[in-house]
Amino acid sequence: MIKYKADITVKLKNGVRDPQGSAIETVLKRVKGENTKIHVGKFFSIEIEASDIEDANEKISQISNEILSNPILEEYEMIRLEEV
Amino acid sequence: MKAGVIVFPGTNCDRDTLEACQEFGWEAEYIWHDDIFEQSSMHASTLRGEADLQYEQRTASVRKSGEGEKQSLKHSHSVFQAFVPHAGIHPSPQKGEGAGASNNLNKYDVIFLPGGFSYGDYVRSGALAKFSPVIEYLKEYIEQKRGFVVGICNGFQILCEAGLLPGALTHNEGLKFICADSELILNEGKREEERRKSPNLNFNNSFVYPSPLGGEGDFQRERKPANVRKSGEGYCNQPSHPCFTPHTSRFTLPIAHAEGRYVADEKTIQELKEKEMIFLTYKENPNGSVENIAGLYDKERRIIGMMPHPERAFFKELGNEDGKIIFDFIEKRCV
Repeated sequence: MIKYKADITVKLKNGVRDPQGSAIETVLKRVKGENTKIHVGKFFSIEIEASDIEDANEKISQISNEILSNPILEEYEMIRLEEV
Repeated sequence: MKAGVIVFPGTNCDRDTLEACQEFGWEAEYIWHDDIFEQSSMHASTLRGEADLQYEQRTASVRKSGEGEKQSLKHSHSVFQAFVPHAGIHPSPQKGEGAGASNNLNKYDVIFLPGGFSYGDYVRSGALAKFSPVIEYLKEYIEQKRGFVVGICNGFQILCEAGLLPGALTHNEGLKFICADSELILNEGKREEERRKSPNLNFNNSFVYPSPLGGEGDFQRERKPANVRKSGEGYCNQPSHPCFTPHTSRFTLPIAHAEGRYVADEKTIQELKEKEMIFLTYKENPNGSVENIAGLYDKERRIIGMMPHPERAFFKELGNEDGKIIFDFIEKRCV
């Protein structure tokens, strides 16, 4: 088994109101005069053992889908997956 | 009638719920989420003496450490280890071993998932609790149509996470933890209109609760006239009351949540409306819930989930007894 490390971000889907993001947008508009679109989310870093990178990908995708995010309102993205 | 109250690490409305059930005339006991074999379901009365002692210790240690939530989460686990000596080291029942355990749940007419912060609300509220062994057995209990399942606050969040109720609950629109009295509308739907006309419910000044033992033991609870009551309108099932409509009633219950905004896609919302699954709505939306949703049925009408806390508005010493309307509602669906 090989050890892999993955980084995952989770944020609310487009269309689900993100009040934290809206609050930051309002402040940015006031302070910097910038028009922005902000999504606030979570970050997870996982270390896992798997037979190869595909296996690792599958395992982590499943974990992300079942535990780290709620597919009804959130979407996840694996931003990094590499051998440790 | 017998009620079970499921306790997860971090659950904090377990005792309020248990006491409310007992006051309402039901038998009630705790069910520890990780250990639902015979020895875990100790009778509430055995539990209560120890609970008092443990509660004292818990509050004392929380005060001392000042760590609040974290400490109480840790401690509530050890509280249950005290009740169930092997809770920590007992191998969790695996899927498929369920026969005995689900029989164990089958002795309950109603099962509560009380409020609180299961697993400290880590990741998302209810996200970790849905993997507790008791949830598998709860699903069997529901499939067998054995009894009624009630999720209050965090319990509602867990039921949604576990896919037993549609949709999901997320952060309040205002991002604040809201702790307030909230006026609610109980909409039982036209289908329930007939039930309301049943002889058990009279529209004078008192509810008649059928005795859990049946027969002669029927007892009545006095309702305070509306002008004496301080919080909310309450008990407006009387046709003379201004807010009375044939199949809805208004009353007030406390809410206490940070993640209570109900969200679902349009198709689901459409279905909720068509099947009259929305049984409880806010009069004034406190958290941004779609369609002012405060509580839901499942399709089969065997499960309800609600954000407000009926068990916190049960005893007259607390100034509001509207929670009894919900307990009455539950009882009518169990008998």
